[in-house]
Amino acid sequence: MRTRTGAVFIVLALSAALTRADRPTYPAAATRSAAEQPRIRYNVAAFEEESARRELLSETMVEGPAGTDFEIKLRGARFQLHARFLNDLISPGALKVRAEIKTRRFYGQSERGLPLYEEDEQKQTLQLGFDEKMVLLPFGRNNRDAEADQLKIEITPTLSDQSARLASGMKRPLEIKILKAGPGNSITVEASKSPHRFAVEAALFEDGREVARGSSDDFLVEEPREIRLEPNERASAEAAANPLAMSLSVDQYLERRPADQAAVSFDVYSLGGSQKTQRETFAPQWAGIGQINSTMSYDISDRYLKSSGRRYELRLSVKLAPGEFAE
Amino acid sequence: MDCKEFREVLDLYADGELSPDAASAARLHLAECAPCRAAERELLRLRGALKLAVSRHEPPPQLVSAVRGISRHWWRRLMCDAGARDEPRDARPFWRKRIALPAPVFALLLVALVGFGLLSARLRTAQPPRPAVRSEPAPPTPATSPPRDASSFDFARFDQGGRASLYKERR
Repeated sequence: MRTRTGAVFIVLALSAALTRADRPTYPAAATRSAAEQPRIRYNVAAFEEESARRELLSETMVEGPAGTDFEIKLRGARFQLHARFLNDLISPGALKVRAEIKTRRFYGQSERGLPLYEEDEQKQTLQLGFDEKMVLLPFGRNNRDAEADQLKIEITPTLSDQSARLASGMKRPLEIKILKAGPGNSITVEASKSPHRFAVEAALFEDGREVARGSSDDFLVEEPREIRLEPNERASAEAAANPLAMSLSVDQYLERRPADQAAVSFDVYSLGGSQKTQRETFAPQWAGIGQINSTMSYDISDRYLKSSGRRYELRLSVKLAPGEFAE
Repeated sequence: MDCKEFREVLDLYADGELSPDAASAARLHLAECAPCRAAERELLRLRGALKLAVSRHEPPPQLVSAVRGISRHWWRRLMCDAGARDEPRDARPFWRKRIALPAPVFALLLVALVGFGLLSARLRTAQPPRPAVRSEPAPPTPATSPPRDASSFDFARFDQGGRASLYKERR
C-alpha cells in the first residue's frame, strides 16, 4: 500500500515538473510587472455633429498594457492632423495623458506658385479618470456657427477585463480593432508599446575617482527631471563647493540590436551660492544615445572647474525603472 | 560545403582556381566525404592520363621553330588578308565611312536646332530675372487647390479656420 502511494506521488510530482518545464520562463521582475499591469482599452470614435444630428464616421479600439501609446491621424486634401498620446497609469483609477497635437492646413499659394501651409503644434497634459473621456476637436470649437458641421473625436479609456497574459503564459499582445473605417481612410489610429519609466544614475569622476553621485528612478519618457550629484568625502574642496546638477530627459526608447538604447538630452550646471541654488549652466543642450544599462561618458574638464587642472568626467547610465518592461 | 556543391566546383578545385575560403571548405569536405575523395582521385587520374597521351605526340621540331619564327606583325597581316579575301575592300576614307546620314535628314536636324535656339533666346528675353530676395513677403493667393491630393475625403465642411483643441469631460 505504502509503495503504491509512493509511486503515485512520484508520478504526480514528475508530471507537475514536466508541466512547469513546458512553460516559458520570464525574469521575476518582468513577470511581476506584467501581471500587475492592467490592460487598458481606448475607444477612439470620430463623429460628425450638426445641431442635433450625430453620425459616427470611424471607430477604432486600441487595447494594451498600461503605457500603451497611440496616434490619431487625419489626412484630408487640405488639412492634416497628427495627435500623439503618451499614456501612463499613475494610480489604479487615473491616467496621465500627454498629448501632442500638430496640424497643417493648406493656406494658399505664393506668387511663385508654391504651397503655403498654416502649421500649429501644441502640448497638453491631462489627468484622466476612467469615468471621463477626452474630446479632440481637430478644427476647434465652432463658435461662429452653432449649426455648422463639427468633427469631434472622442477617446474613452476603460480598464479591460482581459488578463495581461494569455493561457499559454505569453504576454497578451497589443490589439487594434478597426470597428468602422473612416471615409477614404482619412482617419487612422496607430498604437505602440514601449517603456516609459526609467532609472537614471549620474556620477562625477575627478581624475578617475568617483566624487559625486545622484540618481532617480522615476523618469517618465520625454519629461525632464533634475538630478543632483551629491559630493562624497573623496571630492576635492573645489568640487565639493561646486556641486553638479543636471536637468535630464529620456527622449526616446530605441529598440536596437544587440541591445536597446535610450536617447537622452540634458543641461549640466553647477550649484553655487551659500544655499546652492544659483545655477551656472556650463553644458547646455547636450545629448547622447547609449545602450540601456551601459554607461555614457562625457569629458567636462574644459567646462567644469577648468582652472583646477583636474580631469572631470560625467558618467550616465539609463535603466528601465523597477517594474517597467520592454516588449 | 555538401557533396552537390563540391561536385560543382570540383574542376575549379582541381585547377587550383578556387578562392582560399572556398578551397579550404572544399578540403574540409574532402576530408570527411569518401565518395567525393574518389571523384577527385578519378578526375586527377583522368587528367594525368590525358596529359600523358598528349605528350606522346610531339610536333616535329621544324614546325615548332617555324611557328615561333612568325612574328606578331606577320601573324596580323595573315589574319587581315584572310578577312579581306571574304569581302570587298572599302576604299573610302575613314571619316566618310562613319557619316551615314542622308542629306535631307541632316538638313532637318539643322533646322530644328536653329529653331530651338531662337525659341529659347526669345523666352529668356521675355522673362526678366526675379530678385533673389524680396523686401516684403507677397500676400498669398487664396487657397485654390492643394499641391497634392492627400486623400479623397475633404474635411473642408468642418474647417472654419479654428485651432485644434483637446479637453476632457465626464462620461
